Amino acid sequence: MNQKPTTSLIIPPELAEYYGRRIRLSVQQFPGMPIFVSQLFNELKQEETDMRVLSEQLRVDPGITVNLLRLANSARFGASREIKSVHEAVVRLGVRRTTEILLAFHVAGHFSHPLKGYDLSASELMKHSLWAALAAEKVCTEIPDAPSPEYAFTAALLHDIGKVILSDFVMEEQPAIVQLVQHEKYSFDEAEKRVLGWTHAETGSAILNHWNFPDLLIQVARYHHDPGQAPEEYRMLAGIVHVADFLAYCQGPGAGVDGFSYHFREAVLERLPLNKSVVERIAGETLEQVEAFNAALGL
Amino acid sequence: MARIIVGISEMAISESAGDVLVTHSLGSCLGFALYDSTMKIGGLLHSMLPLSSTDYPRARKNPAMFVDTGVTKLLEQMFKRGCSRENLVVKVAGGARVLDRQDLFRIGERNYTVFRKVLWKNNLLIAGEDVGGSVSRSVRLELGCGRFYVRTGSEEREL
Ligand SMILES: [Fe+2]
Ligand SMILES: [Fe+2]
Repeated sequence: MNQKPTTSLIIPPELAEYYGRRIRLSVQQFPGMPIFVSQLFNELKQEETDMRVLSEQLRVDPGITVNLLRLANSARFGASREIKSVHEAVVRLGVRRTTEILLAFHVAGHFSHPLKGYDLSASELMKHSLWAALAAEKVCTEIPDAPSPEYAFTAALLHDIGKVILSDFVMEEQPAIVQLVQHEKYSFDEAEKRVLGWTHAETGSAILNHWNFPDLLIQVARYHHDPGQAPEEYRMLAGIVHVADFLAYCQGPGAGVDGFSYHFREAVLERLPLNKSVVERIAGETLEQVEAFNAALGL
Repeated sequence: MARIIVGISEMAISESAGDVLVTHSLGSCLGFALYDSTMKIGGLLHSMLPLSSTDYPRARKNPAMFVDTGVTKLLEQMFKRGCSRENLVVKVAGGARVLDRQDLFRIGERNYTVFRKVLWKNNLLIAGEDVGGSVSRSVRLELGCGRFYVRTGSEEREL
């Protein structure tokens, strides 16, 4: 088999085999999501989660209640009188926002460690992911025939989850990766592939697969740095997350060592009619939402 | 003596020696520091976008978000506190760019271009800068001495 030189491994095959085994094991051992949160992710496919069912589920999750009330009462969401119950909060925020906050809250639990391989402090991956999620949602409102914003939010929220596992491996091989990125003009994910045999995008899709999450989320994580390769049905969403990721790196926290070392795939713009002024307006709007979410999640 | 964190699209001014103004994750945003060496007043701005014309209502609410209105506003406030043009030391960092210089994401370069224009209009020169490249930076301005530091990853240098 002829491999393209750009993706060929630069480590001995035995070492690649060893890394592959360890990465797969980490995926198998990755902590799970509470069942009702997984259900919410899966219910993304349905039109609307029932408001009462959602309030019911929230009641059994005390961790989120405080944050939800804090958010519903924040001036940024236009609170006028004090909201005291979960049900009132859901009514005020709407089912979509509530679901998103719930998801973000649980994802934050998985993103709470510093990731040395990417030079990210404890909350930075979460902040980056949230920024991308809110930007992706905004992009959806700007283009015709866009996928629904909650898909974009969720897919973007999880796009870099693979970093949680791959960080330790990147750390082990940092000199080789840095050499490829800084001196041989490889993008960071290409360098991961050549040095470890896995990218953070592949690792992330393996985690989401392990969690039995919808195919849409698995594929977008897998192809967020190369959306043109995504299966046709998810290509537009992968493109939206790709753009949102760039916006998040340019303007938000969590760029780490890698944030400015990815390729922008111009082909995504064939499907997404975006221009400078739209992108910059989205950036400004995103910041406001990010601040509200950060406050609610205590980031 | 305080460590004042300047958030994204925010600015801060201090007159207390010992205070430190800090801003993180500049990315393509610009971190603009002004220091009056005689009055010992310093200001720091973290602007994310070049031009207020992108979104006037937002610029009115938060001038610091845009380089044009942000720099103008910070200058105005420094002058109001008695700073004079001759004593102002201007330093700037940030404006990083992504790998492929796709027009859509030349935000960093546009930020810097607008910045130069605003400075030129105000008859000010840049005393130190660390802009462009593919790195995200953090900066801090120390009041009292006016020292300005740029950090990338674990490396820090004075500008
Ligand atoms: Fe990524
Ligand atoms: Fe990312």
